[in-house]
Amino acid sequence: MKNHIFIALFIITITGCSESNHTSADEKTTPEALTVSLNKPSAIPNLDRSNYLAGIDMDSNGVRDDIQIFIDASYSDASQHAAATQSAKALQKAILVDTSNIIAVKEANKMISEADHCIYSQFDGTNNSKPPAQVSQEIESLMTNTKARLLAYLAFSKALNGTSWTTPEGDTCE
Amino acid sequence: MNKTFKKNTPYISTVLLLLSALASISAHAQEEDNICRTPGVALVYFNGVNTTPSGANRAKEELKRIYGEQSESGDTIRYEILYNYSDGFEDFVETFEQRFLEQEELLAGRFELFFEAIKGNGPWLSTITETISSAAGILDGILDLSQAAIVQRLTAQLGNPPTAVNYAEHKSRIDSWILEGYKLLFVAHSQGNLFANVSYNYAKTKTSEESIKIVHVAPASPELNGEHTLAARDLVINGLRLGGSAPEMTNYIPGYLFRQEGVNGQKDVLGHGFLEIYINPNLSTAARIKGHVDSALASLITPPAEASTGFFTATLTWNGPGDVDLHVFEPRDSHVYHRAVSGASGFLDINNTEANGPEHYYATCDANTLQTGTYQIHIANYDAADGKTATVQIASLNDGVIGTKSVVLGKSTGDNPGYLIFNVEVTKNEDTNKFSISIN
Repeated sequence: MKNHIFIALFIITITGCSESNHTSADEKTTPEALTVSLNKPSAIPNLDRSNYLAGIDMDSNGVRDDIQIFIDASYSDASQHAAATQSAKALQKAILVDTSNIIAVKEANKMISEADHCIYSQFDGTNNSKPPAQVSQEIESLMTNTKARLLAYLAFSKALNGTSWTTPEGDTCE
Repeated sequence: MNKTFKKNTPYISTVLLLLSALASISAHAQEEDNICRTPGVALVYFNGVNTTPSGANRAKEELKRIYGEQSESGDTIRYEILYNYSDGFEDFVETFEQRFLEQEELLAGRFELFFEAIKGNGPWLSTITETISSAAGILDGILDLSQAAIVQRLTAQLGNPPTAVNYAEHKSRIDSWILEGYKLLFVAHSQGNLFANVSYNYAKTKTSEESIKIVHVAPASPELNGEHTLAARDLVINGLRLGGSAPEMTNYIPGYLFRQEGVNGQKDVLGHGFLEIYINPNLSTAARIKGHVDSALASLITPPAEASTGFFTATLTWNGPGDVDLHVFEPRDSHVYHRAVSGASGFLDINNTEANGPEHYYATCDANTLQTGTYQIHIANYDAADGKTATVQIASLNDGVIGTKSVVLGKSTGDNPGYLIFNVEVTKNEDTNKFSISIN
């Protein structure tokens, strides 16, 4: 019984703390400040939200410029930077692929598989670095930051329904 | 004999040493020339609900981190995905937009939050809910809808389960693994269990039950063909249980507030995620699943290999009686088919003349013999397979399935191959000496 009371008090304390944090933050944060805050790389990066599916890639390196800025700011280690860039490139291919062409869809998927494999070879989650799953997931989310891009990526995923692939062997980093 | 041996011992020792060194060099050279690996275990992951291809990769790579490239019994382990997409996943994008992005003006257009929102947690969402308290309420609503939609979708699928016919590529892949002598270990999560059960029941008709095992994780199906793990606070499966039956819960996990993050650094409010919950090393589910996988790896029996592994393989199957033939035209004009089973670069090692197939061609694993260029893969209705559906699958060791294509056969044409199915391009990078493959 004592334990139950203790646990109940603990939960109330946690909930109370959490709620008071929200209130405190709301009081201090203006919409303008919040927008600035959300656009910091540490919060949510400032991304291209144009209707253009491919986004802007001024240097034509296969990676949207806004994503490149995020990767540049996030990964100083050259191998990790390259792995994140490879992932962004592969996902860009998937978003732009003609989903009625299953060979092209599979080719784009192969690039994603190789990029994910590369991320797992370059990030081990130690020394306070992000775990590889988080790196991969984060880039996937950033690449699908508009409704059109997200729907295009889900259409690509749907085109792969019922297919099969394997873990590539060896070094798949570009 | 002994005398002679003794007398010449120093010379014989020298000769033996030389022979041994030569043998070792030769074995090493053969190893270098062999661009394939011997079959071992295919650890096949069947993904759960609302999983993208990259999400399936993450699960597969995490499994590889846990179980490595070789089992304790010395088998090489290949990690494979048999992917399924959740119907209606894209419909939820509208719901997300209307309920979350349109209600909280500052978040308008931020679809990068979608994948976090459907799990109810993530670093960006945390930042937002810490600064906009109203967002937390809307987010809870999204999560409730997400849970309801997943449960509804899974319930519908339970009533209308997938069949092997719907998943020709999965089926054909299983055929190839069994032909080539792989042990099969299926690891299925959530919705993937529906597909894994179909594949398991199909594989049982092709090989011994001792060569296939299945490990169920958060099974969205009451049908179990192996050990299972189900967390007590898995809200998705608990939702399914309310509407029908679900397997028994096996593991207590702490409530959301007290859970540690999973291997992707995130939590899953629904208690259903493969990375966040089930293989989270801080939760008891991970140890239970590892026990099941280790036990399966130790007990699988190698099936007899009927076909060889190749740098790439072409497997032909069809649905019923009749004789369908595989014809491969190799880059330098060798025509490999049932009347000429050896080519310059590959071999037809299985020929079926009665029903269903398979027929199997493999390109050599010897880097010195494998020809670069175009391999044309044709088929012919040799006899009595009119109207049957024939399926050809091209797979490579490094990439898995490259392509699967089916055709409905017309009238028989004997040895004249009437259908060009694939052009397979094999290329070699002269800098790295690596071969690669593509199809068109």
